[in-house]
Amino acid sequence: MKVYRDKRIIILYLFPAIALMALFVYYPLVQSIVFSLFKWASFSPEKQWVGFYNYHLIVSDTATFFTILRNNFFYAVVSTIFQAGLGLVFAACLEEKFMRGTQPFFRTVLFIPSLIAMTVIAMLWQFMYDPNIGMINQAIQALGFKDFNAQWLGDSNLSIWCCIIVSQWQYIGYCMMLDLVGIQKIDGELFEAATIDGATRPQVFRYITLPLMKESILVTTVVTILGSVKVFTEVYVMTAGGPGRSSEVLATAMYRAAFKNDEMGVACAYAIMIFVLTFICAALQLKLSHTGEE
Amino acid sequence: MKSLKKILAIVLATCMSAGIFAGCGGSGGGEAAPSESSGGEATPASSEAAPPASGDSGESFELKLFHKWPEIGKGRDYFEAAVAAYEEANPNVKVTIECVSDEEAKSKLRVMMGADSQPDVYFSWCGEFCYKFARAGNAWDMTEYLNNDPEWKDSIMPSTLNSYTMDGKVYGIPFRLIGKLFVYNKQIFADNGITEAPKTWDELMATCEKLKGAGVTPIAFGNLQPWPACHYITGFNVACVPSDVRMTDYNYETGEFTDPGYITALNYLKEFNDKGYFNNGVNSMIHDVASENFKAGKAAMFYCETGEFGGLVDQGLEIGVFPMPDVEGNGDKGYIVGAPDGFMISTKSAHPEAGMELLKLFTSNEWQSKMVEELYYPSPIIGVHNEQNTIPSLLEAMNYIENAKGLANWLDTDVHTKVSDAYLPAMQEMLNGTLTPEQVMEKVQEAAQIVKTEEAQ
Repeated sequence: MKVYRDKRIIILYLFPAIALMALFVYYPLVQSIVFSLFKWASFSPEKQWVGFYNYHLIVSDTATFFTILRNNFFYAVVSTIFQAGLGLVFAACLEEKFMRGTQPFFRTVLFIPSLIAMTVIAMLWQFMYDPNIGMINQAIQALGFKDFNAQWLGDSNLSIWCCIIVSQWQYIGYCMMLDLVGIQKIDGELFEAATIDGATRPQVFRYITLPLMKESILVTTVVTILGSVKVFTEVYVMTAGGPGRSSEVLATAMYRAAFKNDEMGVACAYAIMIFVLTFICAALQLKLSHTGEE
Repeated sequence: MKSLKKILAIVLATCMSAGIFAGCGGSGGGEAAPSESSGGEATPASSEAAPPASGDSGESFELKLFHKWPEIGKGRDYFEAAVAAYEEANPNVKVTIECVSDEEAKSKLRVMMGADSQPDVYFSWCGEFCYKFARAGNAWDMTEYLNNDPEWKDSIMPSTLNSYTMDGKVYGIPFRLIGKLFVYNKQIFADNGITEAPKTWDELMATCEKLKGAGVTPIAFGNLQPWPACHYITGFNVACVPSDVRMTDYNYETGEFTDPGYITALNYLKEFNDKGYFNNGVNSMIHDVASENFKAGKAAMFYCETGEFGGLVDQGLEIGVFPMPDVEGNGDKGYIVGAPDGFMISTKSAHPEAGMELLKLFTSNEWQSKMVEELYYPSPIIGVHNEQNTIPSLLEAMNYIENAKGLANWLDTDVHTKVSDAYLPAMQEMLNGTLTPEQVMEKVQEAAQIVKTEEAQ
């Protein structure tokens, strides 16, 4: 195919995609960087050059900035363990012979939460977390702990964990589905051979499934970690970053700056921080996993 | 053959990429065209033919209205009906309505004001929220128009018009009047032998103590979204801080918040909480859930806005009303927390007079009376309320509001948003016991300092 050797043709074919990317991805990105160096409000045409003041403003509120980064870090760690890790275990379990009959049922049940709109889920959980009428406290009280009275969303130490739990509940099924597809792509003969050689089920998982699932695991970890840096809806709806700033994450802080405090420049600075963090995370993961080498 | 394929490929690829830019060009051209034409026609229309409504000129145009009452069967229907009446009287005007709910309106307004497609007539809170649009040049100066129509101007309660006035210029027309008062469940009060609504702070405390002793939650309070606490503090600040000091502090250019009265005010709120007069889990509950709890009879009292009365009495609840009693302090007494809600007109509007006509219709006796009857909102127009169109609890509330020395505008829309953004979350922490009132004020002082230095630059 001589046509593929012609550079001009290649460039020509790539042009539409690159033009779209440039217009909707790279141009806004560059613009955000530029805008983060100005002080401006969305409703006013005036832009005042302030250099790196917006970044300074974010970082100089040490306590809040630390809380924000800590919350995103917790989110990423827990999400990796539960969604990428436990999701894979669930997928492997569902692929076991004795689960084959009931697999469609569990698959559907676990996957359904990720189809529901996040806002709806967040509001449902908000009711469940209610200390007076909520299901969770009532269930614990019914078990005999009559004086149990956790404030959940209203407690500065618990609020972020309440949000994290909801995200795990929602997305574990999604990651499980991705992993299921990955497992089903593995050649069945490998499992058979291992079983004949006397491998136990956990050993099969450890030495056959895991190594062959590398690509799929990479996808789920990248998706979950990037998701936890960008997390917004559940936190915003359930706690709005409160009480105080205890459950603030990068995205809610960005929203607060943009639409509550009329500081679009600070919001852009947050956006750039989110971008840099996600970029580093993704690059590191791709580098460490050595994908495409096999 | 090969060259034919090549040509075909080039043509297709060009079409694809041309499509992208055609899309951009189209929207750009679309934006430019109307603004050009409206700009060209509007200037003579507004400067020469000012006094008669521009609707009379016969040219047909579109008017965009933005409001914050999207509930079907309530606010949305009311505005649709009012707009229909306006369109019937002005057949050449087509009014398009856009509405989102309260919390979204705050952010949406800010974004819309930055775009070229601003709504002609838009809802806005009063005080600082309105002033910042005026300062950014987004608010049309209504002073002259109102002065040419003294009959209309005089029908509006002066204090409410005042809330939309900056440097002697009027930027907004009040549409409804919101006051914050205590409502109480008459049944629960009677069951616990409380015959009279509390009038003083001590009486309120005694009532709470009595109810608490009887195992009833005295006050329903949900502060998950942190604004309800600031409504308490709005009133306490007025009572505890000398008014000139408060005015200086609420102005973002001079704010310091060092007066000890602010701490006293926070302590009053803390007292409710520490003594257990609020329900369990104040920071875990949104205001709406607190409202539902009150409706379900799970709490005896509820500090709420007059605009919420309708929702309470719709289910047949018997409620009484009393204002927040005055607390000890160096500030003003006899104030009620509240403010008018109103509409402003964009400077980018090509037909501000038509917008004013629409607002005149909203504030006409007929439509205000309809609002009072259907939506149970209190009216800022003099003489609208009567026993026929107003529910008793609202009439009672209006009585308190009219006899109050003044209205204290919501703290969160009255101070600079960055100050309120420090104030409100810190109060949540105070209610959780993780911050003391002194520490709350330290955070507020820090924020005020940052705002001051930033604005000075």
